[in-house]
Amino acid sequence: MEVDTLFASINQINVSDHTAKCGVCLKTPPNIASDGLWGNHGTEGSPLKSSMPIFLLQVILIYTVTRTLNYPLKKLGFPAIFSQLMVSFVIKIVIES
Amino acid sequence: MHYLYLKAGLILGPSLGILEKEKTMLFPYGSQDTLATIASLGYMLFVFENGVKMDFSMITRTGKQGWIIAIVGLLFPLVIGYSSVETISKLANQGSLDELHSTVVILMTQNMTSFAVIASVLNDLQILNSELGRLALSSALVGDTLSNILVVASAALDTRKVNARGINLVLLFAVIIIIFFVYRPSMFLVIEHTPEGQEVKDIYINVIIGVLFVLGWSSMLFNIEFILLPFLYGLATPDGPPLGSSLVKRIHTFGLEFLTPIFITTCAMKMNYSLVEFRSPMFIGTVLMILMAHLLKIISYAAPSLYFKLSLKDAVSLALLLDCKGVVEVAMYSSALDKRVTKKFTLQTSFTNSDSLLDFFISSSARTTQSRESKWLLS
Repeated sequence: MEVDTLFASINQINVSDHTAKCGVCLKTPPNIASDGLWGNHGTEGSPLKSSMPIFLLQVILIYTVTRTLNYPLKKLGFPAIFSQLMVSFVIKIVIES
Repeated sequence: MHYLYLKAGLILGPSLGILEKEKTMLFPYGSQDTLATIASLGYMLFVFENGVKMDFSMITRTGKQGWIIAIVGLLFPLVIGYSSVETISKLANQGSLDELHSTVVILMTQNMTSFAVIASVLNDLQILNSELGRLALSSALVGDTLSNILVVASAALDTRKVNARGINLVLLFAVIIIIFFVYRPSMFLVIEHTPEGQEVKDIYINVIIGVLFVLGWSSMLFNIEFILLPFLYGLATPDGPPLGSSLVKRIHTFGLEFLTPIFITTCAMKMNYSLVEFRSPMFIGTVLMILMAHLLKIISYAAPSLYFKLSLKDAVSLALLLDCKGVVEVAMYSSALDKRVTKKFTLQTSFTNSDSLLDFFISSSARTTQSRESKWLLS
């Protein structure tokens, strides 16, 4: 099963139509800071597998998209919450394509 | 297809079909928890700040009009909605009563009037200081306080959490009494001891923010929404200079401008569009239900305003303003989703979706009415 995850492994238990519970296998201590792009630890300490860099990346993504969307939408008279909700559409479309 | 999510709620969850394709490089499985947790912290700060900004003396300035409009607008739809909740639920869910609780959640959320949302809409329209704006704000203040009391009561009396219900309730009310009768007077003492024209000492600000986090934590201990005690705490904090304004100044940028948009986005990302069947009776039923709730709310706000001899146009704009939905409702749906109060989470998310679109139309129509009006006033 190909999946991007921060966990060591994921096991599905209790799968039904709409929900599924899964047991995850965590490595302790978890990778919070990364070893950097050119670290020597294989994929384990890479920035996209460590929680701090990935969190900051998500924040940067959401923040920039919100601000970029907010600028034209504000001129058109949309309330701020509208652009904040639209960000999720945009990000989903971009990631899914 | 399998939809997997952690208890904290997968942000980029269901419609991505996680665990299937390798397309979530930016949002790997497990990273959502961190983002959601920190964004929730921002929401807590947002709610607290709005509580601080609320000013109860505003109500006395507008008189009993605000009270009566708010009470009628809150209770009338509530009574009608709850007396017909089983019928509505059956209509929306093809005759089954399985989703009764999710219907209740929708009715409750539709019925909320949130001060934070209305204040920000009024601020966007730049009519905070007009006659209508002040009336809307004071009605929203009463409505918000009353609906929060209702939320506390319904959470405390929730039949599904029978064990330790009594002790939760007692502790909750003890904390609320301490907030309003010990904390609030002591803050007035602090203000008295602050020299004229100076800011409050840093130590007080630090203590207040520390207690804020403690209250967020203890809300969860009492098994209620994590924002409820922080909101009441903010309400008890005196607004305006020197205390309230310097608190707001410190929280505003980080909580309101930075973390709250991220919170809204994380909530909105829980929506699942791929599972919405636009022709299913369930979808049509729920959309009709939401439309009905809005209509009922608008009528029950407009009627008492007309009684107070407002012009029809003013009454309708006031009703539209007070009917606006925003951050608070999005957050409510999202937390209902996380707690699995609503079993059919896919459908529930579509509620949030249609609701937010509707809110946009409502707020934009309110905006056009308002701008036309302000143009008339200016010319």
